[in-house]
Amino acid sequence: MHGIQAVHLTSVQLRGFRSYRSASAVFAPALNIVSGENGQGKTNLLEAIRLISVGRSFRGATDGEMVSWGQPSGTITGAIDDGPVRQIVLTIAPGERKQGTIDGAALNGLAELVGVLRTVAVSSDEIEQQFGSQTGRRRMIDVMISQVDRGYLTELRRCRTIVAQLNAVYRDPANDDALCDVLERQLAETSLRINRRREAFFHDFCRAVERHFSRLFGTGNLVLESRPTLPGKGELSDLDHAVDVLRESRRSARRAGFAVRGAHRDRFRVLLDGRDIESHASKGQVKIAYLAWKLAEGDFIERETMRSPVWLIDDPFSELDARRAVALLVSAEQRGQVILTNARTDGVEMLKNGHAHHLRVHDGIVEGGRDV
Amino acid sequence: MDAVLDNAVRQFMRLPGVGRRTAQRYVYHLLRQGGEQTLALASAVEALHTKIRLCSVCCSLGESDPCGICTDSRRDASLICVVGETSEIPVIEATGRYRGRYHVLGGLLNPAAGIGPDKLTFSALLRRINPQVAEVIVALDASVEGDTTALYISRLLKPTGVRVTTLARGLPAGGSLDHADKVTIGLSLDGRVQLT
Ligand SMILES: [Zn+2]
Repeated sequence: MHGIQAVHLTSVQLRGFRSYRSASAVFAPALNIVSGENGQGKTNLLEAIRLISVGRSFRGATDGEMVSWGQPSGTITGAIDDGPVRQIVLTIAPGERKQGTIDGAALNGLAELVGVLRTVAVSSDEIEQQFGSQTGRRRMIDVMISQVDRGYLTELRRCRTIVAQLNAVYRDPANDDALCDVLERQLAETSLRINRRREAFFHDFCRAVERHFSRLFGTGNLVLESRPTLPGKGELSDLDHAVDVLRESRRSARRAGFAVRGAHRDRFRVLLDGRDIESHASKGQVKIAYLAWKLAEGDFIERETMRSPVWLIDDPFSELDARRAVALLVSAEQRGQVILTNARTDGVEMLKNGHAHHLRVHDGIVEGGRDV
Repeated sequence: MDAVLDNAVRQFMRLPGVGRRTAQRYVYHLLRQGGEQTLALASAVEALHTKIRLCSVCCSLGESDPCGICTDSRRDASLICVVGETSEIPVIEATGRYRGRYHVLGGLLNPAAGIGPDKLTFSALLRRINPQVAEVIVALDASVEGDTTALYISRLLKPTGVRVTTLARGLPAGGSLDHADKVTIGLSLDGRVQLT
């Protein structure tokens, strides 16, 4: 693509993070292959990189689970070449707020972290925990848009606070209708702002997912569909309508004990030949749809920021047949830095472009630096 | 742990942001520093209970009831400025732009934390609205809780027909009122707008 600036992670240091008491790794700007036996910590390395990128583990792990056994806290330091070199430091400790710095300045909340190192993570954990459900896909979309739009992340947090307040009111037997009115209006406002941003994103994203699916992976008609739980596309005139819909659903919300409509409940369907993939597609087809989605994530980040994302790919050769894994890697590598883990070596040899930076993980240590 | 020590630790743990370990540090600190200072702390805490009272008009906390502002006949009784806490009154006063009266809610609506309308002084505010009152200015934090509370007041006062305004947004989003500077708050007062 024209005018896309390459951004890459130059190094990462881990202290007290999972299997790493103290380790560091240096990466090349293009393809990096992290190999090692299973259980040696290859995926932990990717998890750490994703954590300083979006503030969350792609395995859904808590901070307590990620801090090394017997250590009070864990620290990840990443250096990023984005024209100027930028540095992220993130410290995690069980039961405490994440703390960190960007270029030496203290983080004023985790939201400031998001968007400094933009990544596309590809892992089988994500297929199972996120991609396989309509709500999981909403979370994936939210993380993706947040990486390019800080204002969107702020709005999501606002929405989450309003929903927590509203849920408490719905559960309260006092049935304060005035308070419901007020909070439902706030929820309608924030939902319409979130929906407007999602709509703007969704049109191009769908087309990209569909294109990647058919171009790289064969036949079948893949379609994405958004199912907002409130009407309207974010026009101001839609607000009163959305408020009315929330008021009408108040009784069922009280019965359920939570806000059943709003941007926090919107769903995203993926249809293969007109049917939901979670109920009608084979495991293999779901994986292919997932990869198409991931390639479209890369397109989206490039288009919105004019910068390439860093691709974090966890063990593609054990998850995919070799032809598709190679197709994914070639496509990713053409666009930017790829950090991939691999338990086997034969898959990597299938890459036509044999130039790669090799790192080896063993017993909590990263060895690397050989150019092959 | 002894019952006396345990009780002291428990009392400190009821303060915001104080966990068990911090509470224990406070207790052992007091035990080490000698009786005089511990008694001084105890009597200061006791005086909060015996000497400080709620103004029966504006619900601010102070040594007299009604408070100095409510009894000051030079202040404009047609304006009521609603704030969350008594500590925010000096912030508005410092702008030098406001000569009306106040109403202190005693917090912001936060149902998730158990703070519903019954925990705040909304009914006292409603009772103060009479034909003499021309305008109620809602001056709350620019947070979700502040917005909820402002909208709630606007709804509550609608039947009275009184004009309800809120500070113009010059305040940083998510910011708390005591951290804003005088100029910003002054401008926000000037640009206050009608709540729908
Ligand atoms: Zn008073």
